Amino acid sequence: MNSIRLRRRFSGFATKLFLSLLLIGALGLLYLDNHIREQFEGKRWAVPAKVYARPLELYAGSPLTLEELRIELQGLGYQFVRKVTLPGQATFFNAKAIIHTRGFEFTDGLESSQRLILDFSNGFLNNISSAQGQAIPLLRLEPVLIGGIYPLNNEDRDLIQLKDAPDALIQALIAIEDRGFYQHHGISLRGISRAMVANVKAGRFIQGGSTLTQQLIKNFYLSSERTLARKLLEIPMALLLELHYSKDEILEAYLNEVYVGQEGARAIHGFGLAAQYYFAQPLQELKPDQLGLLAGLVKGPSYYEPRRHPQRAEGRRNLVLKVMHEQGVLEETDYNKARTRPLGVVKQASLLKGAYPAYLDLVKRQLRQDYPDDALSSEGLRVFTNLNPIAQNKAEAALTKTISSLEKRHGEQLAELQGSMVVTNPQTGEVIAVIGGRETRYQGFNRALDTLRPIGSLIKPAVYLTAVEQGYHLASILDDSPFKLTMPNGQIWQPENFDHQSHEHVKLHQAMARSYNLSTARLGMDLGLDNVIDTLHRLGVVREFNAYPSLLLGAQGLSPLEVAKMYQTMASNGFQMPLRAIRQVTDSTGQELSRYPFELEQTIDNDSMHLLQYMLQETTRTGTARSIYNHLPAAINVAGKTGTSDLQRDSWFAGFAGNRLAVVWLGLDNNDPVPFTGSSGALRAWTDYMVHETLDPFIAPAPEEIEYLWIDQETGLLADAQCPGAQQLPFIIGNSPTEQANCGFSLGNDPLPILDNWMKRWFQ
Amino acid sequence: MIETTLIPRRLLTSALLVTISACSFAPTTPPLVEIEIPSEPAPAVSIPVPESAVISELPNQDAINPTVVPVSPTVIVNNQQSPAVVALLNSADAAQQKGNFKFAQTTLQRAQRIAPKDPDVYYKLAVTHCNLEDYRLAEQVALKGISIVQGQTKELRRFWLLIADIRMQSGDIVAAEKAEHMASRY
Repeated sequence: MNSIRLRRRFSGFATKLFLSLLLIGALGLLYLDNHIREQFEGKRWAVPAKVYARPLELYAGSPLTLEELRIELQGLGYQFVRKVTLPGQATFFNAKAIIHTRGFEFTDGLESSQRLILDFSNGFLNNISSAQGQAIPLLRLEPVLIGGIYPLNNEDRDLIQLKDAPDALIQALIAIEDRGFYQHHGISLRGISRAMVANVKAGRFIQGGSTLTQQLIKNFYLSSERTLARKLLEIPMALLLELHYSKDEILEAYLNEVYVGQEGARAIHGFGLAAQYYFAQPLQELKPDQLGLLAGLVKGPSYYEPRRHPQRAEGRRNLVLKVMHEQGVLEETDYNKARTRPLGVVKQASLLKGAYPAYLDLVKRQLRQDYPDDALSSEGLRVFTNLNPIAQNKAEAALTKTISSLEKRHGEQLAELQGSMVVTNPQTGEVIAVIGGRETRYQGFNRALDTLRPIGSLIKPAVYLTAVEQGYHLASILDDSPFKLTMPNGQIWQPENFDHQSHEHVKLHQAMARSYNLSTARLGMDLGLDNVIDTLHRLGVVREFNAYPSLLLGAQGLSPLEVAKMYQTMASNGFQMPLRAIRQVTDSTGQELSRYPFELEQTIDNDSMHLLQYMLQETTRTGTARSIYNHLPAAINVAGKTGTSDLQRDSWFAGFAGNRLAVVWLGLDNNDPVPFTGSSGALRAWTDYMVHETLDPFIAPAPEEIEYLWIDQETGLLADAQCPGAQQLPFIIGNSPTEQANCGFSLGNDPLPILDNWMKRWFQ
Repeated sequence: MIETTLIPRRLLTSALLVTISACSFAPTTPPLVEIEIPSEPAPAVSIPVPESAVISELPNQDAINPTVVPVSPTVIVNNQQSPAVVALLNSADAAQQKGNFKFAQTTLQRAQRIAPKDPDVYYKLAVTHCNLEDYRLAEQVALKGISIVQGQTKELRRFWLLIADIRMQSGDIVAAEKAEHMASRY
């Protein structure tokens, strides 16, 4: 009885257990199934925002040299070949270039892929014609991709569609990784048994015998540990995935998921990005040997890393090519050609993605005002910026060259010399280049945005602008004698001129051009510190200032970007403009999300600004920055100001031509003095940059309330045009000297060159 | 002083126009050219002019006070628009007419980068912002235009009339009258 009851009870228990296990198994499977489908059909990957440089506009008459075009095309990964037949190829000969553009879909229209012939002469692009000989008025090249905004896991990828993947890549992958891909249902028994034999032989777990489907499961759904449990989970999941999705869908996901490299913290995923990362080219343009290498990397991206282990990588590539040949994917001749080609992996330093960390930093800060972090790192947004890689390239060259020559001259004490630079388009307020430190690719402290260093005499234009607004004119006489000021806290402020001399009575425009401290400080005290601060704000500086007298000589700190904004207002006739790094943001399909158009607000009147612009030009012609014209042609009018902070801790120059504004800062991070001034330091980098650009002269037409009068240099009184030493100066009508000088007496007394040529040219 | 008592005829007509068409007054002013337009299409290279060609060697013919001996600097604007700028301006006009103001804005900014001293660019951009009902920006862009056409009376008149129209649109009649008055000085 008992035993029967027991047996019955046991069999009942077993049935229940079995049913429960079945239920658990079924539930588990259901759960897995659900999990697989949810993740596969939802947003599969966090796709980083892509950040682009400005597209290069090509038009007849554009200031562009062949060399500049080469910089741009290299950034875009064009291949320089003998005969241009495919998109992404170029050839240069004499003063001509033939390029085959790739085309790009901008929000305001498609730039189609086309073959072009470009004629250059004297620093300009003269003519553009199509392959059929038709003249083309203008077009845009595709923009250079300069960076991404990555999610927390630092996965970077560039999604592709299956139809964009070259056949040879897919054939290579199947040949080397999973020959039975199109036949199996997710797992390959033959593969597993082969792997088991290998594992038993090795005495540990070394091989998985994974199909492409399993590899996808492993990367996409599971952790990266090699455990048996994970292996067991992989099999049902692979089967389920194959049950729901077609081979093409699985393959497309695989192409985008696969891990193929590592750059610092940034993980390179997918073949779309791999093509850019290793060859700086779009995947579609790669040749069989390049595709063979990419397919080979899947097995061990760090073991076969082609930049670090070129021999291993080449061996692996050739193995893939051999298998492709055996499988009939690669013809004999193609195979022989492919396996003898060099690896062709580009140097990491030549990749423009990640080359401009300081600029990208500015872009991110401006983006974060409008977009949450996760949208930036996961939605695949496209960010179109104003970065001009050609200008950035030249600015970097100028800054690093100046830094190393200063180091060479001054030796050890300058081993840590740092610098930063901001370049804008003074007509539009667009930021075209930013350098955050001497190691321009180093993603660290961004001095262009985050160093607040005393600006020294760069502040003076604000003082002199306040003066002319309050009724001073350029020939007003200022007192340049020494003085002491006792501050409310008992401290004594006793400014000095750079040459430790007093210049007694000086004309206002000369005090500015020669950057005299005593007369400036006296003038500023007279004008009122609050009024000078108000002018600074109207020039576009948002920061609060302390109303200390030392402010008048630039004791308070600004970043190079803030200085650029201030000088931008001077360059654009008194219109304040936001400095814009971004043009437009679109979603991943190219729909516009936001735009950042040309903005401006007049905050300084034309007349006063014209007087200041005159003084800034005098500074570059005959004042503290006159060394510019040892290098720049006299025909190029530029305007600007040198700055040296107290104890010579900072060397500054801010200035502009008609189409470029640049601010340079040099100094030491530890704030020690440097053995050079604004003129002998920062100005050199500025000039070196400007001579390499195609410049428009800065020209400010005189407003109608302005008249130019001949002024005697000695007395500051009206003079006759024929008087020796007379100089033409601008005045607001009704506010000028009225007395006439007797010019006979000033003969030969003038320290200034008599009527400089620049003024003759400019003010006839 | 005078502007308060002035009843500008043009203001009345423009007020009438305004009621029927928004900021579409751009084509009503014929293109103004200070220097001869070449009869043939502009040669391919029109931008790289040597400095001496850009800067006038001539006295300012519009100088208000001709008795002052030294004359203020004036600039001969190179009115020869490059084919690229012409193409962009045309395409902006077409977009404007279709009411696609954002496209017009993008296109005019492309033109601005190529020819930042071309008054037409600022004129049309101001009209675009007016159409986008951003009257503040429209006026500022027009003022920027004025700052680059100093010494060119016809251009100055055209821009001040535009500002008058923009101010009318924004409903500021007093300010519009002032702009009318400014225009009437040229």
